[in-house]
Amino acid sequence: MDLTKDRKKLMELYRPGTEEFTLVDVPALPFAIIDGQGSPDHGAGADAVKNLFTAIYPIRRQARERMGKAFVEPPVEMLYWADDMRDLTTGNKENWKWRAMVTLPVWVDEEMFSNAVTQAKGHMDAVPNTLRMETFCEGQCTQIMHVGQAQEIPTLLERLYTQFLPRNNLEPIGAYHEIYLDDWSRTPPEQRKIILRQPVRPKR
Amino acid sequence: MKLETMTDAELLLLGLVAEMPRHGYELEQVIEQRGMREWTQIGFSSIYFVLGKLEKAGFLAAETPAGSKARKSFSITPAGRAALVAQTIEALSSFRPTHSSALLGMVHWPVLSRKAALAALKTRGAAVAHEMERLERIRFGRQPLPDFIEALFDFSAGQLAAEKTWVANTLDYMTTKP
Repeated sequence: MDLTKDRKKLMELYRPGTEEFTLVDVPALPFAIIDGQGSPDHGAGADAVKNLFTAIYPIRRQARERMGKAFVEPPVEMLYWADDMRDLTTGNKENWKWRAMVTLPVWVDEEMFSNAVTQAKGHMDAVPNTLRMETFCEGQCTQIMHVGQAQEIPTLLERLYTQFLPRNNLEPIGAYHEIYLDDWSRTPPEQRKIILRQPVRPKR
Repeated sequence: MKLETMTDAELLLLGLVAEMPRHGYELEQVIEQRGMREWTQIGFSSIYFVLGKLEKAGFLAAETPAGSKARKSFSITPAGRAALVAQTIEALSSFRPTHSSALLGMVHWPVLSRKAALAALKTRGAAVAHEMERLERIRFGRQPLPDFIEALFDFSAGQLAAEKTWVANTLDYMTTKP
């Protein structure tokens, strides 16, 4: 789906309210992706994000030229999951798996992507072997915007998993998703906007 | 401290502290990461000196958190923010022409032999191309950048591209004219 042609959907996906969890249908979108394992803290996650944006820089530049005012700066997105989902809720980060992602314009094809990576190669320490382009459809999700310290997130998630989902007869399916709308090196912790998103399905 | 007497270094630190409260060492790291020494002179030791000046002027407030090893954290005051806003508007809106050495070089073109003049211009062209590549490498290496910083790089890149075209056209003309 081309989100730049549907601003309403774009706002629905990337500007949810801060008060209540809402349901949203997330369409198939093309992403550039790097996978990781273990704690994303202490640089591993940040390195992946840096490599991701370096790899797609030629595409981003092309997008700015081609799309002009229609170009929208894509945010950093992270998926988190674990083989034993309890590791996720208890914060046992060593057992986490994660995926750093950034949306791409719909007109990007495999060839453009690999050309971009070739151009970017010299600017990365090493090309991560999980770096790829993939279309990803999350489907039905629930989400909320959190503005503030990251430490406050577990409280919100507890509300999601123990109250909102059971009350609406839903259960989580698929990886927990965070979308970071601010550059953390330029925004103080109490002003950082993070979208918390969880794909769901009707409870069976 | 009067607004008009604020130095680049003072303004730079004021802006970084306006983003979020930071202590001296953190500021050093941000300046390094963002490559700000490329266009402003601010040594590690002068950071503390400048912070002290800004604090004295009432633009920054320093806070020492509890604990003996705690470092002073600086945050911006309302007066500091007003100064930053005024200075940023001034910087963005005022156009100050800069004079390239190319102007002086062209004025005195006739004192050179054709061969020497053309060679000098070629050297200039190579230097411009080199600078374009260097900026491109920096830009690539510093991804992701926010859109206003991309626009900042566009500014320099656009100026270099204009100069490159000018050098090529001038060389072309001066080489072929009888």
